[in-house]
Amino acid sequence: MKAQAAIVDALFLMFIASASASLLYFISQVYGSNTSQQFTAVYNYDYLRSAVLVYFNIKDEDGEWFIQGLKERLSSNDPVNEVAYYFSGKGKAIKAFFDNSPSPNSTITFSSSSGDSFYCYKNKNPSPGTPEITCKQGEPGLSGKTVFTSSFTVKTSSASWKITLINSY
Amino acid sequence: MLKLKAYLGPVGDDLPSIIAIVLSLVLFFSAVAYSFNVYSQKQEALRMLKAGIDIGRILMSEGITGDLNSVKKKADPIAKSYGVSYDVSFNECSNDYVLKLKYLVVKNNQPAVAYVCVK
Repeated sequence: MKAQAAIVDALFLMFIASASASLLYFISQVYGSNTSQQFTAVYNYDYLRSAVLVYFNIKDEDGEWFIQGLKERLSSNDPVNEVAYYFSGKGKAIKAFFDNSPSPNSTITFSSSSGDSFYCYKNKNPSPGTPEITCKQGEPGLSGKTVFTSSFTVKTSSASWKITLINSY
Repeated sequence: MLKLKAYLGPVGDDLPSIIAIVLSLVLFFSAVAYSFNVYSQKQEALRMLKAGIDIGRILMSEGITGDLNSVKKKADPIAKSYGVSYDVSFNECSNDYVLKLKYLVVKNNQPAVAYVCVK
């Protein structure tokens, strides 16, 4: 009877040790993931902010300020195609934003005070002849995604355009 | 001489419970050692990430126009306070750097990529 009681005690100890080990393992796996996510968010916001600062301070292929070139295209009658054309030609400096973004799904949205909206993204597998940067009418489908944004406004003679750089995951 | 059935001696009798106790202790202390190791690694990674982000902030405030020397002057004390070594350059980080962050800066009126590398 004495030996049996000792085995039961030992098994009880084993159960407690297993539970404690499992708890420690679980805590060590979870530890820091929230903080890491917060730092990743901070880095995404910083990257977007640096991009906004940069595009206010660079010139396009014509030697014109990039933001001025963009403003001219937004003032046109067909801003979606004009901006897409600009991003694939004289304003191709925008590719730097897409190419170096920490997010694989970066998007730029344009929404005007008159209600127009469109968005541009980098075509991952462009077929020959199609531009690398594609612009489409409407809003990008971002529901359910973690989204980081940085915005600025460009005023044209007819409307005020809110331009938002987005990193989504 | 008194002979007891199934009596294996003073230690032998407790052998099954001794094995269970030893296994429990090994399991528990292995978990403690493993958790401590994971904790240290994660702390180190977070420290580097924080240092990288702080140096990136200097890059955004001082080096947006591509002047990386003034960035380094201000980033040196930050790196020292975190106990990390770093580099800020227009070239990609070498493989011995653990953390690599990219930022856009202006160089000759064109966008350029500046790398913040931390180890």
